[in-house]
Amino acid sequence: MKALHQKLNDICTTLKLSCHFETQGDSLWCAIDDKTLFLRIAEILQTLNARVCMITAYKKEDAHELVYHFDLDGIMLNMKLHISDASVPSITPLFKSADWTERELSELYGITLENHPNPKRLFLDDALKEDLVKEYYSLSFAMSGKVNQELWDKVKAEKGVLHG
Amino acid sequence: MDKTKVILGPFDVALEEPVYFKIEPNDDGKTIKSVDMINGFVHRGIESIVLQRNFLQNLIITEKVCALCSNNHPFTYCMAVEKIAGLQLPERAKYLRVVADEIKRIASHLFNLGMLAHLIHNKSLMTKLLETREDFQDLKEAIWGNRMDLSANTIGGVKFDLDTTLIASIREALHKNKSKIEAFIALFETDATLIARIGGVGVLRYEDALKLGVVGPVARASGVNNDVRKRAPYAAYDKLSFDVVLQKDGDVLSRAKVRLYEILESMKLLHQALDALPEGDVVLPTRSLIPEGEAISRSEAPRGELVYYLKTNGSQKPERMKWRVPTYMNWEALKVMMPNNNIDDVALIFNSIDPCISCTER
Repeated sequence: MKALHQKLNDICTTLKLSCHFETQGDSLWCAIDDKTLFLRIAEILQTLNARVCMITAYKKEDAHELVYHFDLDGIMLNMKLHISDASVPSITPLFKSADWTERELSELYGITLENHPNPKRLFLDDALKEDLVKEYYSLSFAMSGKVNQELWDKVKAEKGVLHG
Repeated sequence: MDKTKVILGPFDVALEEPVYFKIEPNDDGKTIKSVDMINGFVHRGIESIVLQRNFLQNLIITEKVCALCSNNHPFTYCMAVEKIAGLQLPERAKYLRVVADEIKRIASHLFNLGMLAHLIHNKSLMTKLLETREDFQDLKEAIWGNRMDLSANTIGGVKFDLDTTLIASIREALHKNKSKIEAFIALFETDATLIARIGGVGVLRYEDALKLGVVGPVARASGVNNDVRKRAPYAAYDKLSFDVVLQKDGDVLSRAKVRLYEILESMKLLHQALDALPEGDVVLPTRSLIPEGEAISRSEAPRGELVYYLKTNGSQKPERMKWRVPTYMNWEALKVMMPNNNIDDVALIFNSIDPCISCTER
């Protein structure tokens, strides 16, 4: 892993890319927030025959954090991409293995994929809006008193009343 | 000839799970032109459910994501938690995890092969395969009290131990069934009728397998080695010797052979693990709080590489937890395997990727 770690950081230095990989446990990690830079690195990884294992998405305050998990010669390479405008360039044209996992995060988090060859819905029916999870309540939530409180908070927030 | 439309589904054509396939035949009405699928019928939002449970409760939830790979889900989940908490497992626990996983793998592979025999209407072969599997199901019942969900893993170790009687019964099951597996292999290697029926069907070439990122026996049947046990060893796999089974034809026959040979490798692994089983605790004596952090872990489930990502924030529930099951990567390969094959072989090819719909959709 040391050799790979060194190699990746050397490539980034040579190409003057502001990205640095760090070891954490048995895998490599890096964090960036520039989409152009992200695509450059993805292209490099493609030439190194990497494979997309998975992409994790989650909300971080008003923005999204995407973690791209690549496999490179049996070593996990995790790239974190911070996005604030809910859109991301697709890497499926580079990695066929990213196809489904990109469609899934697009559908569940309402993130637009730029340049995806097949940006169809993956799991949820077309009749359902994307990113609907945040608008609806689950049964267990709706059956507890929590939902009333939240609805009242919403009404008050709309009327501009803060508390009480 | 009129355009024929073949509709299969909403039930999975090999196992009764819901997924829709749109299969367009060629003009001859006998072979397949293209295949597309719609899924989402069993999307249960488990990734959201796990955020509302604590780390111990999630052992139970993850065990229920998939039936046949059920042991690998809590196993891989535990590894992620253990990485974040920096836990060092007792040696005995690592070996016992291997034992649970390999017994599960043998049973799972035999089940898939049994389905294959069923689909080619070879009832006697199916009976023999499932009878063999039955011994391993009994073994699971004897050790873990359950025939499918073992509940073998816990954070910091395992929940079971093996005494001399149980070890003897594992060895007996291995001894009894080894020759049977060898006979199956001989059949798949030499039986002209069987080879003619499933050889050359649903081919996935090496380049396509690599490009699609397929995993497990599907990848290995096309010559791609991404066996996690070898490529990124976990538990006690780095201390045990076994071979990765590779084939090069990438057809239904190769995938069946990979599974058969892998059963022999699993038996090898089990013997070694039982021989070398260290003395000591099976689980860490104290329960620790899970600190803030993130980790990625993976294991080789019977169907291939299973990946878990876990992010924690210092509370006793995950902040984000995501996993990708092996079948997830193998679906797109159907679009390469199916075209120009016989319509009769749809179910056969479908079964050869050993699909699991409920775990794909979570």
